[in-house]
Amino acid sequence: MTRFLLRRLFGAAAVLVALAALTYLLFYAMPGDPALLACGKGCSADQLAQVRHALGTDRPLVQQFWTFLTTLVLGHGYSTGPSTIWCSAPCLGYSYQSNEPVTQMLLERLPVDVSLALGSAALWLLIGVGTGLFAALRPGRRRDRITNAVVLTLGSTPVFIMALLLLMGACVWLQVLPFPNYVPLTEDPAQWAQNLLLPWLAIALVTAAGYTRLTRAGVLETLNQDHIRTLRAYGYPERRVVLRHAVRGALPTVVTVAAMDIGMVLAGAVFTETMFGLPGLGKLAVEAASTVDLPVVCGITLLAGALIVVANTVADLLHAALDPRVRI
Amino acid sequence: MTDPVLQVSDLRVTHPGPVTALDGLSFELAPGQVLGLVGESGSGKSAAALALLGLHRRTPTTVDGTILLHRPDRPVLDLNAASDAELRTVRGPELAMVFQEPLTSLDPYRRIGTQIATAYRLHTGASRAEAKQRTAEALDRVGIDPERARDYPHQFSGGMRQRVLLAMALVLRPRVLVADEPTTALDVTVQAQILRLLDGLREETGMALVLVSHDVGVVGGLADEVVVLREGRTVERGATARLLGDPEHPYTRALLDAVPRLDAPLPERAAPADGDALVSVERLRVDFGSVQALRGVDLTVRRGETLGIVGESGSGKSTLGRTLVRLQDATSGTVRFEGEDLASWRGRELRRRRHELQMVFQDPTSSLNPRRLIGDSVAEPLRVRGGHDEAAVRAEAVGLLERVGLGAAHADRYPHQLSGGQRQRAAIARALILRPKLIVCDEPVSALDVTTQAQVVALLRELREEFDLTLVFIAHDLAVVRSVSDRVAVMRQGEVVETLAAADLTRPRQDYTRALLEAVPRLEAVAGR
Repeated sequence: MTRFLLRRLFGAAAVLVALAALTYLLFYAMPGDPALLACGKGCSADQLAQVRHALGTDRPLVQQFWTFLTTLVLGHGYSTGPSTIWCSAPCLGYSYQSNEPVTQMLLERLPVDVSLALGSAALWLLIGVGTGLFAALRPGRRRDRITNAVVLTLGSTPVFIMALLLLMGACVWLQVLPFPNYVPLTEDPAQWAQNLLLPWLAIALVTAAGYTRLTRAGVLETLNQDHIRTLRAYGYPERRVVLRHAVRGALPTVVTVAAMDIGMVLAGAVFTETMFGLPGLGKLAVEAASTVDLPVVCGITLLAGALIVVANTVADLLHAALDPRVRI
Repeated sequence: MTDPVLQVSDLRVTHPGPVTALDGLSFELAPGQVLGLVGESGSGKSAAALALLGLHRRTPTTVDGTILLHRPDRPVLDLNAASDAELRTVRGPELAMVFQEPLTSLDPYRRIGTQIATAYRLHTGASRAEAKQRTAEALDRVGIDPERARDYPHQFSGGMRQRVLLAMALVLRPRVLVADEPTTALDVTVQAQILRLLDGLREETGMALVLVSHDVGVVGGLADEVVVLREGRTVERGATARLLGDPEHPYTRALLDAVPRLDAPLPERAAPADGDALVSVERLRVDFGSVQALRGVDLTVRRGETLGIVGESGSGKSTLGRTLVRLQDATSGTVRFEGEDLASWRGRELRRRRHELQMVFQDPTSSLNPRRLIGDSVAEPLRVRGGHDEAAVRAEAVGLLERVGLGAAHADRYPHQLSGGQRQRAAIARALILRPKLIVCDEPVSALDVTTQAQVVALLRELREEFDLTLVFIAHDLAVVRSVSDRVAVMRQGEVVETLAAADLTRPRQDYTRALLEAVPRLEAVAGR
């Protein structure tokens, strides 16, 4: 267990450094000068050089990258004229655009994605596992086929279409909900939930399809296994056989995939955030990329990478916890 | 005869198609009595066992006939006509079942104690504490430390898991136990233990037993009466001693003759007595992590001979076999093939010479690619090796298929369209196509019926002469090994205990070999009782 976690930690560090390097390379190769963008129109050559120097983009790429890494691990002092501002580790530098510390920008936005991910995951698991079970109980029958058709249709709908349909339906035609406007959980839990309901639904309806199929396949496969026959031979009621034992067989896969999917949403749901105007990581990523704001993009990439690595590790741990045969 | 507990008449099982799996089985069973159902695969014996407990319900298979269960102080119940709810109350406390696959018949996600206790509480409504107590007693009775109730199925061996299932049956004190091939997946010593246990439980509790097996020896040792099934029909039925001693039906006789016997005369064979060593193994050790699979094996395989390797599961015989063909590397020690250290074959040298060492595996179902035609699977090694045009490769593959008793038609079929015996023949053809010098056969017949087993063994004997082969024949069945081998090596816990000439196998020097021999169910003893 300790060995497993240590190995994962080293693996994660390697992946993240590689990710950061790749992001730097991509930006170097891309057209567009961040200094020019930061300096604005009518920027003189002198000013531009000054801005470049301030941003550090006048130095060689490798050097920039090295500074980025050491800053991340050790922190860094930035001189702003007379005084020096100390940015403590994990420091991701300052936005070229707004001059805010990137770490703080990310931490401000993360709660949005956490809210989004956990809420939608609860919904998609409920919908997905429920419909999967519903379909598996009578395989090949009408309800199985109808469930399959509905779920496939939902699952193949792009999330922005789903978001649009939900917005139009709930806020325009039925007018049962106001247009979403993100309210932090700490401010007003009721408002938080109400405003996130549509984004949750949008993600959940699109994602649930996979869970329906996973659950259905897992339950059907388990029902065909020998140990289920044993239960029947010892007089277990069918309901108990299915709900406790067959579902149990499908659970490890469902939970593993869910942990990874949650990681994906945590790392930024670009479309959903954009459609519902949620101030999350995805939205920030799009803005930063379009303004060549390297520190912000790099920070988001690293955070997203880290979240996905963590999600995968959690998935593996959960799998081991749920299946006594798996040892890590 | 006392009043029967179970009366089955004209039981028919029909799979959709329609395919008749069982065509009119009738029998009566008194308390404490043992009925043996014997037949090859496809004879309908397992279908009959499942039908007794109504396990075909909710499947497209239909069951006709009556299964009358007599219960004291309660009306007779026809299990085939009973409602699902009625049937549930009967499954377990009245009729319990033990299955062929002990490895997969327990819920992998639940502790074994919980599984037994839950079955008990389901039918008795007992408290947790009482169920726990009864579970401990049942585990103790089947020879499992009650402390291990908290362990999961994967922490037990196959034989132990079969005991756990028996404990699950035992805790409910069923009046009839249906055992479907309960020992087929187990090796001889464990088989003997389980059979003894079954007999002991029968004696203690007075339960009746329906024992299903393809192995006449297994059934013969326990059953009072035997029913021989063939393609769903009852071929012959009678008291065990009479039926085995003096079978009336030629099919029963054929079935009995196919059973390998330790006292059968060995075929005449010019022993390749002083052949030089083709393979010599010295102080071979193979470790898997902290597990020592082989702990210093010394062994010689002479050119042209057949060396049998016997031992219980876990004795390291498969690991030894795999190391001989370099599918497994030695941790230390050497394996020399024609005087060369196998470990020194690397890269190109290994690829150039690998064809001289081939292997035939136990399970032909999983060792042939299910998505590939038989002809392609057989031809594959030659194609990989290159240097032959496609027509020649094809001709060679078809020729070999014909040689092993299949035909050109089989080349264009998929593995699932062949029987188990036919698949194993195809696997042998695949091993032959590169004209190896050594073939290691790892339990090549243990997944097959006795009659098919006898045919495949005969085939291997012929091929050995024809292709100048040296064979290493690994099996847990001593009689089979004796019938093909010139010499037999007996393995135990990663070591070779002794090596004997096949003719001397019944006169071993080591106690362990003697114990193995004694565990083999003896037909001759039954027939004469």
